[in-house]
Amino acid sequence: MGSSELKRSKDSVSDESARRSSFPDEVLERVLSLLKSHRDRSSVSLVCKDWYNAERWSRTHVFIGNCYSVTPEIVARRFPRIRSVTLKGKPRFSDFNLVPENWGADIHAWLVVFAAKYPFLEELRLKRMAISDESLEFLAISFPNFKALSLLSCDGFSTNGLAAIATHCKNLTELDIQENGIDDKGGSWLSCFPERFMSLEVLNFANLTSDINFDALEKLVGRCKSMRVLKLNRSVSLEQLQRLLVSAPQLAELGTGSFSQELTIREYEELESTLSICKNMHTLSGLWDAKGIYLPALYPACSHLTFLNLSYAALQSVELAKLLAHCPRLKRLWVLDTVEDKGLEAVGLNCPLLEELRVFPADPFDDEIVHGVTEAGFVAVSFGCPRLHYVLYFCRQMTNAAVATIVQNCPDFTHFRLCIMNPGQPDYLTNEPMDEAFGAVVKTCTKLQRLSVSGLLTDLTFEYIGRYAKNLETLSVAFAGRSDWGMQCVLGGCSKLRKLEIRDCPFGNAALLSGLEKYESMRSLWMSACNVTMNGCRLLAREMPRLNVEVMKEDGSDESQADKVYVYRSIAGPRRDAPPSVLTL
Amino acid sequence: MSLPLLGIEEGCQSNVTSLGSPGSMDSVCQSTAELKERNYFGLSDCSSIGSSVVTPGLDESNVSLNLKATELRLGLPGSQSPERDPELCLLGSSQLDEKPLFPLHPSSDSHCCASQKAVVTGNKRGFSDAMDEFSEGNFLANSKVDVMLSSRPLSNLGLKSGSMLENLVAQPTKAKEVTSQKVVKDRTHAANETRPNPNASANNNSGAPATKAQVVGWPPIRSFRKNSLSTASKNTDEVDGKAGADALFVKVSMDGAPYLRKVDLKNYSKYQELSSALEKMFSCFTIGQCGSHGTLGRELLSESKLKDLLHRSEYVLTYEDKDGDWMLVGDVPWEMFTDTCRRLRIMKSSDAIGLAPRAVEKCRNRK
Repeated sequence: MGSSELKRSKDSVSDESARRSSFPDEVLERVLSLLKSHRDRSSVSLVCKDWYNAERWSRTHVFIGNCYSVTPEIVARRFPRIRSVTLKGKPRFSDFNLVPENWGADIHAWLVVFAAKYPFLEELRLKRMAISDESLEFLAISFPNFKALSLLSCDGFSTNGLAAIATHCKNLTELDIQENGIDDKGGSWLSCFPERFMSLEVLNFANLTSDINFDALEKLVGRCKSMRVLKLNRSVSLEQLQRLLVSAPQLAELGTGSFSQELTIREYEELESTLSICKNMHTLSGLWDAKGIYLPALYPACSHLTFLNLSYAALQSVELAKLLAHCPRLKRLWVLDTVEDKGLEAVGLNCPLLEELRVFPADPFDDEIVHGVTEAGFVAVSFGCPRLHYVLYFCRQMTNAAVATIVQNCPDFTHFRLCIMNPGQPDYLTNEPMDEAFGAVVKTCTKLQRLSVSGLLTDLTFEYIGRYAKNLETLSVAFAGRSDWGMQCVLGGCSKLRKLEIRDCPFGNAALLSGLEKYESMRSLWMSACNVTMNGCRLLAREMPRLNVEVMKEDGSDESQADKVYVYRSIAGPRRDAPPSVLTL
Repeated sequence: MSLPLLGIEEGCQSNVTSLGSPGSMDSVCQSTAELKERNYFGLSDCSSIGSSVVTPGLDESNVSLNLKATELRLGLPGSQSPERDPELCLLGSSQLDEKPLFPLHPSSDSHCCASQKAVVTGNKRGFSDAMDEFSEGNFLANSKVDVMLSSRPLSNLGLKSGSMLENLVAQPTKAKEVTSQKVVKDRTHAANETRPNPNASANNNSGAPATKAQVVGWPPIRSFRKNSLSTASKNTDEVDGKAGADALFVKVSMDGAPYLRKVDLKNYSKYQELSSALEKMFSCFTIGQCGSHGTLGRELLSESKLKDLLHRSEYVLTYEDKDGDWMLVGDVPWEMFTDTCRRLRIMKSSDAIGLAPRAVEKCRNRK
């Protein structure tokens, strides 16, 4: 409606005022400012030039999925009014040590541009970026309105950087430090918050290991009456937790510290009663080293819980079952596989509303003991939780039949990440490849967006994926496939594919080059320990100038082999900050 | 159903059957078996290599290099160093799965072999090449050197990015070539792995033979989680120990030592006994540190000299009590001490007073 009107008026009248009267820019901007999804905004910007302009002026949050796909200058030129930035850097496999040291994704160049162009920047959310203490200090000083900092899986900084943030960011509402490679020099950073500072709403320092000054923390929590998220680190004891909760009963998300201190009966009762007044709590995590006998203290706080993260608490099945009996509203559950299949049965029995389940391995590198979860646990959950749509499951054995049953019970999977921990392991009952399992997944779960495959897989799996997974956006493959054909099927069939990450598969140049046309519509491709050669990569780089093709070679490898390949689309051209170990072709 | 034991030995053997270089494989197996018995100094009597958790107060600048170089994980096979044995054994282990335990159809069997082989040979050096070099290398040298000599900052070690480390990095190039490229490359890159405390779960600390070879970055679990889990299992040990009536194990750290020890306070009935036990326990560290840098060091410090050091208050023994405060050992009655002590630290008195005795100073300068 709007666009055709605009087009007509553009054609018939050439001066600005007439156009404005038919559909004022300000109105359009106002309407578009209500759009939050960056994908919707991208679509809007493609309608026509006016809409493009209106969109760019009204956008306040920009999401950049690959920091090297664009430069900060380009971003600043297009979007003049940004107040919130989300940036992702390194390839996901850097979480698993597959990306070389000093690979890049340093935030500093971005900060310098932002300081000039977005002095009123309020939020910065980084994932897999490198950020130094100097950058943190620069950030703290350059943006007087800065409110929210979230660092997930980043590295390069220490607690000194956090101290700078605490010291200078007078308007800070959110400090969220998660799973980073942080150099923890001690807990004194927390004492750097000024005495009168009281705006903090989100504080997550569960990542840190060293002791913090509890006095300072207690006073801080007492002052910040709007605090709704508090995630403590392991050094905070149960007793200290109880004292904190007394001043913050309004918490919506709580991450406890260590849940294993020896308590007297009186102390336990105090804890229990304090927890019972936390009626707003919908997310509970932490519970490091949780002792089963203290878990009942949590029961009164569990009635409204929707997200329970027990992935750092090595619970047994019985303890979990008892706890879950008090969590009828649970939608998301993360556990360790110490709960075993019996524990998962309890999940199926007690959590009918469950939508997300993640089961992590407690001893991922120890095969000598029989433990963990099997296909039985997963099946049990699927029977009891028909709404399940997100699963991450680490196990040591699986069967095709089990997976078929699971997706029959839960056809709405959007994220299916199955990790059979022994690479290349077949169906343990039939000794067949796990092709049919993933075939069942893609055939049944038409909404599937993300898939991680494992076990013994032939090209048939990839044929299935290419043929049926029409909504698939992210695919992770390891130790699978037989020939180039597998990867070709995926590249040819999955029209919505955006991220493809492959390791240790027999896919070579033919496979790589079959995606020539496709990579520009994807965010990135990662291939490591496959059969791709330097020549193949060079050819790709030559044919597709708008792709950055980066190769990381390993010491002592064959001259011609391209050990690790990272391909991504970019309007910024080849990057100039690559370390010597990364070759840009 | 139980999964097959995927010990190094088994893995080696199955490699032998499938890829046929028995001689080199044996020496690998032997070498890895040797490896597990030695500690950083090549002394086999220092048992139970303790955790590599670095206490917060550790003297960072002097010790950091040593600590890094001696990061415990490498000492023990089966510790959480997934880089230890690369795809070679991985290959073997998965083959192990397929061959004895699962009667595969011939077609799928050959398919599996093909795919797995393709994985290995397609992009790496020839398998036998890797194995030959593996066996030739000096294992102890490798272990000393191929530890995460990364320039990333470590938690609890005040290390900035790497010019200091580049010297160390330069040394082990030989070792890098010896071990398989994936192993070492990812070691030096695996700063994540160097974060303190990830030295294996309790299972591995018991000195059990190496579990199956681990692939870099597999299973795909973030480092933070890996580290937390290993600390979790150690902590539960500690907590259980304290709760039980039988033993009262507390960690003991010494400034400058590459790893911590544990002592059972119930073994002693007075301070004197504890003190002599600690002297014995840590004498090998002080000697080793200076000794590894030349004979002069040996002359400087012997076991008796160390005692002298301790008696002349070159070091002070401190402990952390239940409230988290650091106290000087010896003030309270022994029983009260054992009740409240959570861990011990042998601290350089120079840290406390600001004076550095010459002997210790020289030692420090050598690092």
